[in-house]
Amino acid sequence: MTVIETHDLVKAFGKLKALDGLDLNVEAGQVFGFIGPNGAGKTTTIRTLLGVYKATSGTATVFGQDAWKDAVSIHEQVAYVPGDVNLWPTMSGGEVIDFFLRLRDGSGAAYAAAQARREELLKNFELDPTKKCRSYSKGNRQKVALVAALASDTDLYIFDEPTSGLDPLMEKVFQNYVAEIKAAGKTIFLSSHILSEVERLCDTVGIIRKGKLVEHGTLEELRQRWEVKGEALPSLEEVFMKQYGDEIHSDEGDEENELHKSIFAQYMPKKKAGDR
Amino acid sequence: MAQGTNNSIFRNAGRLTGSALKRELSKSGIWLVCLTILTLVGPIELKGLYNTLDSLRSFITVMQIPAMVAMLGPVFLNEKTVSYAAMGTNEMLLLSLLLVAIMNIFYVVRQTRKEEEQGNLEIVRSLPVGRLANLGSTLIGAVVINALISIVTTVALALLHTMDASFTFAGAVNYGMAFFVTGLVFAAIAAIVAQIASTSRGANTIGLIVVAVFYVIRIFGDFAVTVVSPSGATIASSSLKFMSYISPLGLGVQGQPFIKNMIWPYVVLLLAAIVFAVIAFALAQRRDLDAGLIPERQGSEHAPAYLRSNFGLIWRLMKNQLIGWAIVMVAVGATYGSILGVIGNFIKSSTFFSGLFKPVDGYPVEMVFIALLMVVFALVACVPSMLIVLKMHSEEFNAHLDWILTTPVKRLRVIADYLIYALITSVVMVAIASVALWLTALVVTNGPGMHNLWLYIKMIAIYLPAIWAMIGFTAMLVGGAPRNTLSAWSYLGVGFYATYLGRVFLSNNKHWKWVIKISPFGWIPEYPINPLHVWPFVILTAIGIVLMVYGVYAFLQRDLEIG
Repeated sequence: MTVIETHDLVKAFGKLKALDGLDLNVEAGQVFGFIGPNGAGKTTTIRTLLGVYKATSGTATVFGQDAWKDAVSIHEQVAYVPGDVNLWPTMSGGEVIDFFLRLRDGSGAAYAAAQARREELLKNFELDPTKKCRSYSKGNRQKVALVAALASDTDLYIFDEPTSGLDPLMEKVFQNYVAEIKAAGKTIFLSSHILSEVERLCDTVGIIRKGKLVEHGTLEELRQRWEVKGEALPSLEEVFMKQYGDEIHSDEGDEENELHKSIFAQYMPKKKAGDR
Repeated sequence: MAQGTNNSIFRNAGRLTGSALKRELSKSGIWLVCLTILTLVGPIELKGLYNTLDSLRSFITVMQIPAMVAMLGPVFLNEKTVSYAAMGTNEMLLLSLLLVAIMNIFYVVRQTRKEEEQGNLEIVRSLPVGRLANLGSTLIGAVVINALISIVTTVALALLHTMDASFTFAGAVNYGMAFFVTGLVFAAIAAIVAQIASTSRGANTIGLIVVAVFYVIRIFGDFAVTVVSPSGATIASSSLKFMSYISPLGLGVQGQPFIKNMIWPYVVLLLAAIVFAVIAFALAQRRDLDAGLIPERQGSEHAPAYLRSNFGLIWRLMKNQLIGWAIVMVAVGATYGSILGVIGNFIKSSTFFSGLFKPVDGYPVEMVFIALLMVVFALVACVPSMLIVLKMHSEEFNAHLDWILTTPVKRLRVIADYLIYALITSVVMVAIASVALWLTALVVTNGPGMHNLWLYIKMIAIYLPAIWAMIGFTAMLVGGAPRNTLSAWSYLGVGFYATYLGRVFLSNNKHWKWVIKISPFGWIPEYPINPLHVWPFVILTAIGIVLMVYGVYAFLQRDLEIG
């Protein structure tokens, strides 16, 4: 079953096309790693999938429903951790978590179950829920969002760079939970630029560049695609660098390439370096 | 001393002042304009209302009404010293100083704790900058800003010399000095508070409480000297008089500009400012960056039961603010109510005022007087409703809305919640104000028709359609023009001046009468002086609904924005 599907998805802000014909496909039970540099369109994709942005053209569906029109019914089965976690400064972390659990699970049995998981998550993430949100560090704000998302029992989890503020120990805790969710057959959409994390957690990977999906497949497929005869299979990092390295050597003469070339040229020996 | 060895705790304070002032320019500029307008409005309005000194003299008695003294400060004028300059400034100085105090609290907290909270100071502190440099530069900035404000008001008042000879240069300078020294005292007090409070928000709250306490303290002292004989000698005096002097706000008006032009209160205030600043510096040495001397309060581990929907969230976020506004409405209602008790006799005893205010349709003269002030009630009641609609805007720009909308919550539900809240609040605020007015009237009046609750409700409630139109205007901006929401306050402010001052100066001017109707408040008749018609209410309500529907529609169509 397909969980996320976009076809020729375009999202323009004025003249700038943040998404420029994105074709994306995530199947149920996959842990999908969505990678790309800053500004490639990762967060725009997530915001469009969540119905916060309205697509300029093309289609975006989640669980087969339209991401914009059917946002509310989609969201009943989605838990989301934003990239920049902004919390209400005067509320405590515990209040924020409860609030989100109630918005998603109401107040019945589902909420009681979520409350039980909340306590376990607070303990494992070593988060003090009684502190006011304004005094949390970046990592602790991220923990609040993670607890609020992981305590809910949903079908799809969307994480936007969830570990950028976590220490290595907490990163490990997060990875354990991802493995747990995966074992339960749930779908995970993980946007990240920490390539080692994607390599460790994800079974399928998509690379986004200038609003287009330029690589898509299982980790193995990607590595084989970029294999050089007689060398060991490349790591995800090497695949990523090759994908972007081709940009530097390509013949398209747009401004950005010129910039990359000039950066690249700095490392080249100058022909007449000794002349005066 | 060589640069590398300069380890002063104030190092580079001068440079920081420059950058701080640059950031301050837009914010303090607004205060500067408002204070100048406020300073000029009093004298000019008096000149427009009373064209002879005799009629002006009769106004002294009004100013001596306890409720007026409580609000505007002691009356230093007597029959001999009365002049447009003296009365206009005597009437306005205390309120202006109150604003100067609030401005300085906000300024100092913004430059110290707010900067720390946003992490800006952490980078600055890593540079070769002394530990006290930021506080030092903030206070130097306060000297500059307060000096600027006092110079501008001095010049503005001195220019009024062309309107009336009583605006002497010496008086204008004395008036400006009151601004300068009072501002510095509160800047230094804010500097102390900023070291103690645990957050910038807390510092602002404590600072405003200190201002409020000083404002109230002086009331007791001021009451003791309100009754002045024609020769200028104080008739009543009590042991509480010192309370006027221990409050910087009370002392700040004792220079008596345009009457006695005394300097000594300002010298005392300047010394106090220096002492407070030294204390602030001593405390600043003892605390860490972004931490106050009192620890932060803990939050609760679980959410309260009502926090289960967007509607509950609005209450969680706005609760304290709304309770504060309810208290303000009670205060305004009680203040006007207490005037009702004395204004009747006063009007009857003055030939000038009994000409101005006449009983209408069997309504007592007190009612007529208060009907003219109702627009102020409506304006104050309008602010909390607009704050609620604008809260949705700040929730959107802080990316909170973004997050809430990724849960099963409809967009329509979110914006509808805020609008319903705003509409309910408008009704509640108006109800509180009218009940407070009625209760005070029960105590202080006994005239016919003065105890009729329904009449008070009617007098204020007729402004509700105008408030709804303002809610609609704000909703239109929040939904359809989220980058221009500040226009809502500009419109409220301009509209208020147009209506309030327009009614005083322009109501008989054929060509400029329309200015009054710029704001929705100008369309509401001053009941019971003027009869009620149905159509202004229908039209204003319709405009409010149309604007709200447009705001909702636009919000449902667009991307969420992030500030």
